[in-house]
Parts: sequence; C-alpha cells; structure tokens
Amino acid sequence: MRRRHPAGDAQPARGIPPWVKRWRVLLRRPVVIAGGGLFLLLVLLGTLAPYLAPVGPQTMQIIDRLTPPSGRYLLGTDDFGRDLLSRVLHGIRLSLTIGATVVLFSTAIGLPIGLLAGYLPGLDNLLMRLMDALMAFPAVILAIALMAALGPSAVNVTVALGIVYAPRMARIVRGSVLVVRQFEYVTAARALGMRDGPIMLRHVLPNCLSPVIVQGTFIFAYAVLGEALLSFLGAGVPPHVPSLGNILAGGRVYMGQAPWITIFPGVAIMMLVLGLNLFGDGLRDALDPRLVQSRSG
Amino acid sequence: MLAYVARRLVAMVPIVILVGTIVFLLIHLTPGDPVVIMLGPDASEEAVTRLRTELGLDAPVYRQWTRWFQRVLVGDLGTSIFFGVPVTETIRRHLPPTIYLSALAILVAVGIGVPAGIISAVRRGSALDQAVTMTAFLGVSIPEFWLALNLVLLFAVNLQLLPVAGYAPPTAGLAVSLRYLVLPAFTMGFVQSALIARMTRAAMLEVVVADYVRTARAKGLPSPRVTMRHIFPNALITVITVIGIIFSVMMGGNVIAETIFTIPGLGQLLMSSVLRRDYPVIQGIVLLVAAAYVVINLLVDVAYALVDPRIRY
Amino acid sequence: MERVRIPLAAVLISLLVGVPAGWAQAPVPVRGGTLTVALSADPPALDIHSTTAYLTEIVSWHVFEPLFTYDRNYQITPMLAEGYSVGAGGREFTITLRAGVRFHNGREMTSADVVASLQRWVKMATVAVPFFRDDIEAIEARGPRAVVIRLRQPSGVLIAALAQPIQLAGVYTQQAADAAGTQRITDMAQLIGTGPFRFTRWTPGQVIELERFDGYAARSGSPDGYGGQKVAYVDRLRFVIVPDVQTRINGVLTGQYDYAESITPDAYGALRVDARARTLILRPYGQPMAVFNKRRGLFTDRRLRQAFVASLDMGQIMAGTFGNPLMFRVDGSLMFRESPWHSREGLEPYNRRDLGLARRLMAEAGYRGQPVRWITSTAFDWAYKPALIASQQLQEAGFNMDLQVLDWATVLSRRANPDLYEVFSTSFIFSPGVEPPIQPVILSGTWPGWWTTEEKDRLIGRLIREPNLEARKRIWTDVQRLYWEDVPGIKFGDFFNLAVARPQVQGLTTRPDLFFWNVWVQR
Repeated sequence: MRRRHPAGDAQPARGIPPWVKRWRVLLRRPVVIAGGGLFLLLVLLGTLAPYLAPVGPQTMQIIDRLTPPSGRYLLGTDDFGRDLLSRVLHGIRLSLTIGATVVLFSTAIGLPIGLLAGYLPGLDNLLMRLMDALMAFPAVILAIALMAALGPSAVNVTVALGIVYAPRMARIVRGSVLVVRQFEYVTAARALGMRDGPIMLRHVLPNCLSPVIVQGTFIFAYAVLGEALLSFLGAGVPPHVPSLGNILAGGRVYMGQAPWITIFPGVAIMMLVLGLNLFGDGLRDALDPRLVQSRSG
Repeated sequence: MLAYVARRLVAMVPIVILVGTIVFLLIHLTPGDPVVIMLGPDASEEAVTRLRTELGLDAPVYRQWTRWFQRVLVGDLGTSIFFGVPVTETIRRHLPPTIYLSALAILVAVGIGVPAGIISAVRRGSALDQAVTMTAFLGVSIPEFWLALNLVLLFAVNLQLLPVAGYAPPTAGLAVSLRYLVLPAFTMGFVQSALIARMTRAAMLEVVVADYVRTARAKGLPSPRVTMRHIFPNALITVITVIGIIFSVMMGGNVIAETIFTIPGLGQLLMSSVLRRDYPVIQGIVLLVAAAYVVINLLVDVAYALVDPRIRY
Repeated sequence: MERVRIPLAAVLISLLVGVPAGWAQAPVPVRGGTLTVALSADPPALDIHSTTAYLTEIVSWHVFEPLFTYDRNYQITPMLAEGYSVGAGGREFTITLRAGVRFHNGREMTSADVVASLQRWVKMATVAVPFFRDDIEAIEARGPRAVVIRLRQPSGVLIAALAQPIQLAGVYTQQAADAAGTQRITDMAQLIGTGPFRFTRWTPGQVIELERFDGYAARSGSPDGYGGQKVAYVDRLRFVIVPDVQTRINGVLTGQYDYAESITPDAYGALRVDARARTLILRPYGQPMAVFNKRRGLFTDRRLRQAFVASLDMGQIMAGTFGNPLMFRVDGSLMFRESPWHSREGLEPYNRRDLGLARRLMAEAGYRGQPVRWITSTAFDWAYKPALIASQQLQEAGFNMDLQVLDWATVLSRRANPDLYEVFSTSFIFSPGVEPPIQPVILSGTWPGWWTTEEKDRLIGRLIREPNLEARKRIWTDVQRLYWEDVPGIKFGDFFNLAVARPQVQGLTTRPDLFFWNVWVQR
C-alpha cells in the first residue's frame, strides 16, 4: 500500500522541521489513526491488567469451571474455573511484553550485522550466508527446535523468536545501508578521512532508522502471532502462565461446549496484530515512500 | 546464466552444512531420550542401555555428528529410531501430501490474492479497494490455527459439509481428495492471499505512473489492455517472488494445518518426531527443507530473468 | 502331576465392567465392512514383544495371540494353550497346545514356534518377567503339542506373566522369532501371528490396516473377556493415527471414524446426548500420581512428604482434572476397587487437607521456602491438571512450588536424574491380573523416586514368599498403611477412560484393553 504524496516528496516547506511534517502526514492518515488507536487501547488494557482484572489470573474456583460469560464472570471461566477476563487481560500484557522484547532483541542482533554487512563488503558474504542459513530454516521449525533445547519460559520464547526474526532485520538494514553508503555525504565523509566506525554511527545508521522502525512494528506483530503459535503447539510459555496462546491451547478441546475460551483470546490477538499491521503500514508510507520491502512470513 | 546457476548451487553447500550442524546440535542438546519412548514407560534400565548402545546413542555428540555427516555425504540420512525404517523412505512417504497441499494452498492464495490486488490497484481509493485492503489486513492478522479451528467447527462439525480431518491422495479420485483438502488449503491460502494481494497492488501502482504506461494510455489504448499488457507483467515478478517464498515456507511450515487436519505430511512428521526425539528424522527433514528453500530461491531468480528480459545474470 | 489353578486374580467382578452391553441383548452380528479406529498416537512398533506401550498392545494383539489370557472376571483362561499342569514342586510347567491353530501363512502352529517365541519374549519382556527370568532353566518342546518350562525356584507369577496383555507373550513363527533375536521386527512379512486379523499395511504416522484372517481357528464356546471365542466380523480393521482429541471426537460424530479412544472427560455431557455417538466409560483405568525424589534433596525428609499430602484436597484435584463425577472416584487404596486387593485400611492421611498439620510438619522439618520442582507434562491431562491444582493448594500451605511443564520425553529422562527434581507426575494404569508386588511399580526401589526403606523391603519379601492368599492380603494391607505413612508418592484417586463410538458399532466392551474382534458394524 503505497500512495504518492505530492507534498511528501516535494521541497520541505519553510520553517517547519521535516520530522514534524512527517508526523503530520502520518497523523492525517485514517489507517494510521485506526491502527495506532487499536494498538494503544490494547497497550492500555495490558498495562492496567493488574488493576482491571477482577481476580488473579491463576486463581481457580474448581466449582465454577466452564461457566459461560455472565455478570459474575464477564468472559466466563475455563476448565479450572479461572476467570477468563483476568487471564485475557494478563495475556495481552504478556503478548505486549514478549512482542516488545523480541523487537529489541532481534534489532540488537540484526542491526549491527546488517550495518557491518552493508558497509564492509569484506564481511558481507560471511554474515549474510549465516543469515541465509537461519532464513533457510522455516521459522516455525527453528522456533520449535530452539524451544525444545532451551525449555519452556517466556524469556526463552523471546530469545527463540528474536533469533528467528533477527535475519529479517539484518537484511532490511543491509539493504538500506547499501543505498545510503552511496550518498554524497557518506562518500564525502570518507574522502575527508573519517574512520569507518564514526561514519557508520553518525551518518549511515541514522538514515537507516526509518526502515528499522517499520520492520520493528511488523516483527512486533509476528512475535505476538509467534508466541500464540508456539504456546498452542506446546512449545511456548509454560501452560499455566496466562498468555493468549496458552488460553487458546487450553480451550481448544472445549471449542464445542465452551467456545468463549477460544473466542476472546483469538479476538484479542487479532486486534493486537491488526493494530500493529495498520500502524506499521501507515508508518512505512509516511516515513519512506520509496521503500520497497517484502513482508513474507 | 548457467554459470550463475552453478555458482549459486555451490554457494548452497555451506548453507546446508551450517543448517545441518545447527539442527544437530540443537536437538542433541534437548533433554529427552528416544529409547525410553520406544521401549515404553515400564521398560527396565538394562533394556534402555542395551538399545542405546545398539543405536550408537551412547557415543559423544561430536562422534555422532561426524558419523551422521559422513553418511549424509553419500546420500544416506540414517534410520528412523522410532519406526526402524530408513529416513529417506519415511520422508518420501510424507512428502507428497505436503507438496500437494502446498500447491493447492498457493492456488487459493494466487486465485484470491492476484485478482484482489489488481482490482484494488485499478480502482485505487474506491470502496472496493478499501474493502480488499481491510480483508487483506485481517488475513495477515488472524492466527492461522485459530481460523482453522473455527472453520472446522463451522463447516465440518455443524454444517457437516466437509470431513473433519484426514487425507486422500489425488489417486483416490480428485473429488474425494479435494473434499479433504478444501479446508486446510483455504486456511493456508487465505492467510497468504492477503500478502499476495498487497504485494500485487503495490507492484502495480509502482508502474502506473511510469512513462511507458503513460505513453500507452496517450496512444489511446483501452484501459483494461493497458492494465494487462503493460502494468501486470511488472507485478508478475513480485508475485513470483512471493509465491516462491511462500512455497518454501510451506514446505516446512505446514505444521499447523497438518496437525489440525491430521494430514500425514512433513510438518506432522516433524512435530511428532520432535516429541519422540527421533533425531535422524528431524535432521533429515530440516536438511531437506533448507535445501528446498535455497533451490526455490534460485528458481525464483531464474524466473525473474525469464519474465523480465531486462534482467541478465 | 496335578492340575493347579493359581489363585492369582481372584474375583474381579464389577457389574460395570463385567458384562458388555453388546452381548447381553445380542443383536444378530453382521459380517463385513470396515471398522476405523482413531488412535491418539503412533504405536512405537507392531512387534508386540518389543515394547510395553499400550498402543502397540491394542493394535498387535489382533494379530498375535498369547498362550493364556484373562476372562470376563479377570481370571486366567487359556487361549492358544489347551491347559497346563505344574509338577516338580511348582518348578515345572507343562503347557499343552491347541491343535489345528494356523499362522497367517497357512502353516500350523507347533511347539517349536511357541518355544522360539517364548525364548525371545523372556529376553525382551520387562514387566513381571524379571521376577523369574534368572530362575528359568529351560524352555523346550515336548512333542509337537506341548511345551515345558523348567524353573530353579517355584514361581507363582509365571502363568500370570504369560497372560498379561502389556508386552504380550504372543506366539510368532519360529523362523521370525529366531531370525530377529532381540532386535525389533519391522518387516511386515515377518509379523505373522495366529490371530483373527493379519497385518496388510502399515504407513507410520498414518494408518495400520488389518484384514480378517479367514483361516482363523477360533476357540469353541462363547466370547469371555479377552478370551473365549474370537470372531472377526469386519473385513478390515483400520487404525488411523489422529493425535488431536477434538478431531477424534468430530470424526466419530461425522461418521469418519467408528471408534475413538482417549476422549476428554469433559466432552462426556455433550456426547452422551448426541444421537450420532455412543459413549463408553472404560473402567477401571488408572491412577494419577505424584512421586517424590527420595534419593536427594528436600523430600528425603519423610515429614515434608507428610506435609505435602496433608495439604491436598483430593476431591478438588480429581474434580478439576476429570470434571464429570462419572469419570473419577476419590479413593486412596493403592489397588483398584475392582480388585480383590482393594483395602480401606491405613488411608487416614489421604485426602485430609489439614493446613495446620502441614505447617507444623514443615516447621519440624526445617522447611524455609526452598523451591519444590515438580516436573510434569501437558501430554496427558492426568499429569498436568492434578499438578497444577495441587500446586495451588500447596502454595496456600506454604510450599514454594516451581511447576516445570515439559514435554513427556523430557519428563521421562529427567525423572531418572535425582538432581533435577523434587516431584514428578506419572500414572499407574490398571492391568488385569497383576497383583502386588509386581505392581504398582512404585514399590520397586530401583524405579525413579527410589523408595528404599527396610520396612518396605521386609514386607515385600514376606509378600513374595507367603503362599496363603488371605495372609498375603493382610501383608498387603500393611504395605498400604506404610505407603501412606512414609508417602513415597501420592495417589490422587482413580480415573476412567472415555471412548466414543458410532451407534452402529456393536459388540464393544468397556474393558480397559481395547479389542475389536467380536465387534461388528450394523448397517
């Protein structure tokens, strides 16, 4: 979804800094507003989960197991008599935490690799072959294998997904570094005898940040889906921890008789990912209309 | 061109070795013992030790690794611990369903995605465009397994229109086998069609403003013809790329659909092999999928050259 | 020589278990058709000697038959044997074989086949056999119709072991048994038995297909438990592998499968009123358990184990795990209510939920919040769910629970290492005819958890030697009392297994070990 904004490509208006303009453009787009709003709403719910949840997400009332949504349990209960509303709220919180940390983790790995590979042709081949090897692993398989070796925990899910998505980040960064390093100010800096390190940090890196941010929102979305999938396959967060994937996995055998257990976390995941995707897409258009990138899963 | 292909094939070797080593280390680091699973829960320690020795699982990991790699080099992937059958044989049996399902899913994805992408590009900004765009966004946002489960509940359990799960090869009759594969193919295809629609649309919009399109319009060519003759071929490259990537992802990523619909493909085999710690099978599948990924990527690049005469290697 | 009937599993009658509904009204059986059974997982092998896996048993015992089996009252009854006699002071067993029994390749079964099969089985079997393996002097043929087993010591469990369904002592052809040795047989052409069905196709991970064996020599008389007359009514028996419970249920509801096992107990309510399905509660079935690591760490202190059990409310644990009260019962007896070994003695510590007592014991033991690592798995509801509910109760009592949920393979390998856990989940599955001390396995000092106390060893020693049944039962009561005092592990209760079938399927029983001979599909 890329639209041409005549104003965006044209000469900057006098007096207004370009980043303010960018954000203005961004905020004028309904998709961005909708996506960002949806995402913010869920961030709010997740942050306030401990205060909004009527009871602890682990508290069991065996006698009330599989109660449909009612005044007492707004979203019903699961097979242990745990309040689903409390679990879903905490699940959103955990998904957000995992999503954000996966973004940080995969950027921490992918960004330096991409930067070095793109800027230093000597390293390019080695680093990118390594990334290719990781990419040649289907994401699901790599994540499952990593989880099996590491053991179930939220931290390990973050590590596994971070490793899975790091090559994507590296590729994106390398792609834009290859473009940026041809820019005049970079060649000029090099001609002036500036060393590689400072050039990379001061001139190349800042100009690669837009695609990193855009890719970051998509990785965030993938990580939310990834957590759900891993937990659903039994290779994710320990099953008693209220994560959206765990709630779905636990409710699966009750889909016929207690559909509320799977409906609400499913919708929560969808809203979260939809919000991120809409926001990320709008962001991409606004930050760099020329950027072409694939979003393969 | 041939030289290029040869170079790429050579470059494939280190990747596959690297992948093989990573997976070997990963699964041997994983706790769990295939022998205990095979002999059953009440097996004696003595029987377990005996079988471990028989299978060579008592050797140090690096010895097992070199032993495995030596055999891989001559095309021998070893024997499944659980089934006692050669891994190549096990994989060969599970490969057709995966390929068949992936092909159908891609058919669905392209069948929905490309027209949707073209329509929304041509009618850019219209209500139709926005509807397509929103559906596409929903498509990439729905957890695939959740969609699958809900489809099963609706079409198989409540409406009883389709079987709940299972698989029949096309040799059992196309109609029969399609009945089994409609739901899984649709689930997988729908999620991917969103991606294809968006990529198609983006690729087409890129050239709408290009000079040669403007020229064509100026010459008075009718609009649909311009679309199909001048704009779509440009989008085709993108579509091929996406299909290639999707196919390679599906080869190993069918885990979800194959588990939920009990389709005896590679994904299901892999999942149960992980649970049983059937090391040779896991290694074999990952190696195969990694090789497929590399080869498919190469084919995509070759296809570029065929579609777009400007690209030369 | 005298004919001896070993009073092994005396009366195991329960009305619920005893008479299968299908036979009581006895609609006229129909021949033909295919019966499709959905199994929850792949059997690890079809070679029934090679594994103790339940799934291998219930598939392969359609093909391989034992010399003895269990009747409707869980008494030993001959199958391929005609009968047996015991001589030399209980050290020589002479088993006579039925005439006219044919293998699937058409050849008649002789004593040579039986000798070769038993010799192989004795080397491979890991349940019960270790009790007498070293005492075996010879297994040899006496003419074409008799087999002699000579022992150095008398054994009361030999015939019971030959009859146990798990890791069945099935009869193979001499050629196959000799050729394989202790290697697992994977070649279908070698997997030839005398049963009412023969293997035709095995696609691992997908389907195991069996066909009726037309040359099958059935026993005369009527069907009786796992024994008596066996008739293959259906032409084809297909075991399909369907790991997902919901898919198994849905498959039966839509007619895709005829029978599905291991169904979530919570589905019972909906399935019972569904005209498209018939529910079968297989009982007795099993006991979910938690076993302490008594070799190293916190729970080497018996007071902490007592505090642990004092914290638990078994009613909550069982109800939360199995839901419907028809699917479980709260009972602390180590042997099932259907067994003559069932006893209500010494059960006071079971299901007490006395937090005051628990805290007192914890204080005495000097417990100061060290983490309690409980390894369990979601692979089975009976493992994960009791662990989760109990953990909450234990947390309330003051234990610092660290619930580690792993996949089943990891649990099995970790529980062998005393440094890695405090408690692990397991279950004890009912097996007909097994008596203490063969089962429960927790009595063994070498089994993970390692229950080694002099008191126990003394009692078990007496139990093995004591010939009188009533006296043995009294000793067993003492073992049970010791169990709940010393708490090597915790039995939460009894649970049953839910199966579901299409209403057209007739002749099914609710016995824990599934079989599909004598079963037909009404059209």
